[in-house]
Amino acid sequence: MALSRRDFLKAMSATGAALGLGSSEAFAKSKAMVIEDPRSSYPNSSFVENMYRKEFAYTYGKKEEHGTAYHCVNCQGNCAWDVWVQNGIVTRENQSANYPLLNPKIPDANPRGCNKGVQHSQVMYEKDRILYPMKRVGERGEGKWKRISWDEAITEVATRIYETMLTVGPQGNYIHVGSGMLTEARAASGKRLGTLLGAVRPYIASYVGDMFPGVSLVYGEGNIGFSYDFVYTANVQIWWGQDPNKSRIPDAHYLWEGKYNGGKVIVITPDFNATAKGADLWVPVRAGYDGFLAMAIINEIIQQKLYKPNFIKVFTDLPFLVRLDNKKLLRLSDIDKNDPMFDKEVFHNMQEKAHGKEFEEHEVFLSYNLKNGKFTIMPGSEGNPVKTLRLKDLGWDIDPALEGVYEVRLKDGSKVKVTPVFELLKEEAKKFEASKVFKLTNVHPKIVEQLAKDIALPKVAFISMGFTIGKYFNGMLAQRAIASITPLCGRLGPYGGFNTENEWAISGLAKISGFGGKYKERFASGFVSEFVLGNMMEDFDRLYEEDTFKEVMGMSKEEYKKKVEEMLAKSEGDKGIGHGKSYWKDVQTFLLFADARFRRNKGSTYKKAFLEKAKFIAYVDFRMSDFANYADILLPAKSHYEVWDLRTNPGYHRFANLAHPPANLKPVGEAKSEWEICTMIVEKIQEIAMKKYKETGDQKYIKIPDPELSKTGYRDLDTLVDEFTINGQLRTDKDAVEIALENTDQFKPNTIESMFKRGGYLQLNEKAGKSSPLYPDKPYNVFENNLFLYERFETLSGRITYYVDDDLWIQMGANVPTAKEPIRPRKFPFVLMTPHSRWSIHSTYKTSTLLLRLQRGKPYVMINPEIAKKKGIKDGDEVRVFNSIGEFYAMAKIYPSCPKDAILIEHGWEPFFYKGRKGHNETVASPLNLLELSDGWGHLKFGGNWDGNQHAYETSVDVEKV
Amino acid sequence: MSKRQLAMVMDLNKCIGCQTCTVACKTQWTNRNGREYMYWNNVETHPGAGYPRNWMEAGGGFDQDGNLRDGIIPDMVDYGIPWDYNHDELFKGELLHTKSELEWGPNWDEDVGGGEYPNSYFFYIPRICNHCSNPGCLAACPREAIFKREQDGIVLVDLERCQGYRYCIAGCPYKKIYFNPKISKSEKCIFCFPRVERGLPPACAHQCVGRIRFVGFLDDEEGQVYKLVHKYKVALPLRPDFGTQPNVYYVPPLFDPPKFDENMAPIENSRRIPMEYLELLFGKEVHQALDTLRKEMEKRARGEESELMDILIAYSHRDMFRLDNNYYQQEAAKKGLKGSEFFRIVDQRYLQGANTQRVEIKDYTFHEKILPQEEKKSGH
Repeated sequence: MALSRRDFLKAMSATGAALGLGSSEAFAKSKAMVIEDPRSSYPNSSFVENMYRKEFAYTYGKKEEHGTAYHCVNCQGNCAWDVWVQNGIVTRENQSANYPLLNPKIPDANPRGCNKGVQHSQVMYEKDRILYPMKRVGERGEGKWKRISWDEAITEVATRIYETMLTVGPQGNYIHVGSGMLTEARAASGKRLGTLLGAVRPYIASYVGDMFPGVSLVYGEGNIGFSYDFVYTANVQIWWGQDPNKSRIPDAHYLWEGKYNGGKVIVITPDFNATAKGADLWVPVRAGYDGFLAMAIINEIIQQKLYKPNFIKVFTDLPFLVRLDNKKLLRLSDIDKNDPMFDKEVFHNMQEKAHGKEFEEHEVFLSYNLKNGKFTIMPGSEGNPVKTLRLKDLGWDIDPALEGVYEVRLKDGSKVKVTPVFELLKEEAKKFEASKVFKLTNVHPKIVEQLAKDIALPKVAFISMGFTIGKYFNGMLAQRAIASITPLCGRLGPYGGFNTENEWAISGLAKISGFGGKYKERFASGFVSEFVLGNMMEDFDRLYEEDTFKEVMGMSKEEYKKKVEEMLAKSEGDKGIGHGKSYWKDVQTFLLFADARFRRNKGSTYKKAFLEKAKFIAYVDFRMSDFANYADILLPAKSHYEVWDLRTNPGYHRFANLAHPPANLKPVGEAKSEWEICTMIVEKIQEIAMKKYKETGDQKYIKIPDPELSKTGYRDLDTLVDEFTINGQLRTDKDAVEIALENTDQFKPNTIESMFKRGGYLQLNEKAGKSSPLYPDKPYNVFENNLFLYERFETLSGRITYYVDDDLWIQMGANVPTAKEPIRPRKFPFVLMTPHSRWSIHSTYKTSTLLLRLQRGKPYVMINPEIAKKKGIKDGDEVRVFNSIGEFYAMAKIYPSCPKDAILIEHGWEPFFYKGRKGHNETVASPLNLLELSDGWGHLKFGGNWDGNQHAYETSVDVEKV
Repeated sequence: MSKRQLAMVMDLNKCIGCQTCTVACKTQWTNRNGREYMYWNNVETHPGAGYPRNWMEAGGGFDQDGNLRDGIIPDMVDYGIPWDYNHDELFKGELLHTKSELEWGPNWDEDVGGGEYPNSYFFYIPRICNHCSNPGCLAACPREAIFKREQDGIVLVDLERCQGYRYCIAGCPYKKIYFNPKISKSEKCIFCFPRVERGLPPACAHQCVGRIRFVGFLDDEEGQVYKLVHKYKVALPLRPDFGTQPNVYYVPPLFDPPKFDENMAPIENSRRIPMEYLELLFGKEVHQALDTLRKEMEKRARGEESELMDILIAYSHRDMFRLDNNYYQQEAAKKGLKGSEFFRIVDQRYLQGANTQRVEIKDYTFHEKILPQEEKKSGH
């Protein structure tokens, strides 16, 4: 209907009851003002203009009062923000957007930030803010609190920690900084306290399931990769099990700018995610079958001869010989050195180069040298004092065979057949030929063919692997298989290769974390500690089906459980240190910082078991998380704009950011920084202990025995304060920042002032590169020093590792890269996938009203439309999701990009969002993987690079309308 | 017509749907004072109902003869009634829940889009007020209380004069003008003019982490906005058929992976997003725009130079904004406002434009050092 403007108005006033106006009186309120055409000029614009100008000026405040900040949470994005303030109240935040353009031909890092960081100003004043120290007065979880003074609170916490040290020993305490606070200066507070007191400190990356053990196996460390500007330079980007448009928001622009620059973007995920929507190719791999796809690609690369023999001969263990009789690597300690087939000359020359250093013969390996037809030792392995990977020009010339079967004479004179690892890899990969595994992977052989070419042929190509892969029970094997692809094609350094996440080398922080070697930390395995604390074997028993488990794992559930028990028995308590995954069962007193553990832990037994074992829980956070509800003492922490802090890693970019509170900021309640809190606790413990000592004269009150982890044999409580504060130098968050700046080479030359002036950051200097130089004008990439300088990798072989000849690994068929199916129960039709959300960092910011309004306001599950139709579920319906261990309720969202055999729920929702306080993890069991549990072979020794994961994706469920 | 027109280009290929813009706008303007339900900037998934729900079917704008079309005022539910939570009750051991029913919200159909697995598709469209050359809201206002700023064409509601009749809401085909129930007047996106006048780009653009937004004057021929809109014609207005002549332009979605056939083999050169849908949104010009983008991308992939790719890549965040503050300062001087609290420059980094040559800034305290600007060479 076409109407003139006048008619339109008439029509509106006639039909629009809500308007109810239109008579001429209504227009006569203000003075007549003649306006000819408001599109070209307007006589009185200043009223409204000045109104908005004033409003802006109010939010902006005074530049000189602004603070700088980043959000020290587990997104690890680490972005510099300008914090605006008015009358001591933060109004809003704006990215500093002041990082330099490093290279005029590569996009800069501005304006790093995201939808969550941009609203912290709103959350910091929300009503769930913990304002005062509080003590529980009702039952745990009942929600009855009494406000107490800081002194009362600290006295109670210190007393409980002290008493635990006296009665149980240092290992009765559990002091832990959770993933809600990941940073260099601030998080160091609780860690330092834990180390000082000898409390149990579990490994965070492991229990959250964000480890890359399969990658550690291959490269010697799990966190490797590039700074994200490198993405821009690649010809082919492969994002495997990752959704950077959601989970790497500040860096995602490099993908699409790289695509404009001629790059090809490939995404490999079961769901058609926010990154896949813009890709050149999306590969719809079936959930849990990533390892099969990786093996199919390896097979294709080998069969089509797309691999680079000259590269793998030098940089991988693929030429190492394996004994066919027992599948063990052939070691120098095995063979008869007088056999004429043994290359004595090379051995002799290497001995000369070793300058008298011993050969550890069981860690020296051999290949078959095509140059002279002899068995020759390879340089660079753990037991070979010659540490280079060079195969020639140093007094030897080795061209190791990749193929063939040879016979070698052993010490006892017997002969065994040996073959290079490459042959075994080739044989294993053949089992995963693309057309054979198509039914399992859902990936067409044509795509496998294309992927192999895209990885092998271009100048620069990389595979970036996300955290989801490790979240399957056999995900470690998938990680390993995926990480094994790119080296076949010679990809390291500037040619791309493999990426998880880069870590910068930051030295000098030991000053704020350590005690000059006097005390060692009681470092515990993450996934094992939680498993034991939460009685999680019960969930394993109830969820998994005997026949599925046996079919996949080749052993019964009982056999598996027995094996787990056996392995865990070896590594328990102080006597277990050095014998596997450390854990301590008698923990009972908990001091936790920013650790919403009931949100995170899997299964239906964890919470009950934990609360029974925890005799005392003190919890430090700025907000009332679901877990905080169960604490005995609550301590209010400052949040990100109120503290001093410093953060560098991980290395998505080369900048360290500074948190510098705005000038004249009004305190929020009685919140204190974690450093202040820890200092108070230490002071109180020493005070109580000294009092007791003075009363009794008994040394046992100030010397707590700790023979394993203290150089003096004791935790010395009489010097606690001086040790913790470095004689008074390190008491506050600001002290920590200053000391970190003074002591860290990679930060130089910088001060708080220089960082603040720049907008809250510093640029790392060239010393920050770990395995490659950090050039001032080029993106960082990984392993250049290995590629160009022939430096060894931190592995047993000194090389990129394909072969593990540990007995258990051989027994489980995992001596070469392989893949195993999921063990999720088949009677429930849908795999439950819980990817990272765009809207929260795990549980952090999940409770933000502003952000919840941009979602559905409560937990929702995403269901394929066809499945929903079959089940009679409509969008917005409440549904029950369940399996044999638990259930949860959520809103249904009909979602075409969800595969038909899966249900998606973004993770991070805390239990208090759900009916009956039962979160989605109630349906998830997280059994320990035996291979992840295994320990002691070569570089697979318990530590930051070799622990295991909790497995969030290893469950299946059914769904019904409520 | 206003003397000059400030405009924005948004590149939908780079939009990651993160909504940092939405939240930046919210904390800058709409988290208070009766604006809580408003999203002056929103990001919606397409195909989808958008915000407010089904805005494209809500009328307004002009017909081919230039007459206003009938329009409606969306129901509050269609905007999404902003729900609140019982955060305080977490201290009483309660569950966290909303205080009202959840029915619809501004991003309710996030990532839903169209198609069927494995051939589903979706993309994002961020929307602000289009600051149209022929605004529907302005034409519909019986009070003539809506105007375009003479100096930059930003559309404002004169809140002194507005009586809250809401014809403007019906008249705007984009539903980007809102009724403020607290003051009973209409309010809308103001292109952050108080920021622009003081040297800061609009919050949604400055804080866009996907780096999709370019801001500049349409007559600034050296500016990216001019080049994308007029020189390369790859940036198009949304729903040009509404007849309001928007000044926000979009680079249409080209990035779109191939579909699969029934055997799960990828179909070469297939597109998921239907061209008809893009035509509906951007008019027939979308074909030409996508062709140009495709050709320039191919050129770039061959290693040839492409100014268009250089612009869209946007090496330097700072260069995405040409705020022309010589011009604003001159305008302020005319009104006697130069150097006043309203026109004191707070950021020196984005001041260039047709009337402002880039200058080396020495005494800018926010910067320790500004990198010298390299001569722009296109190509790799």
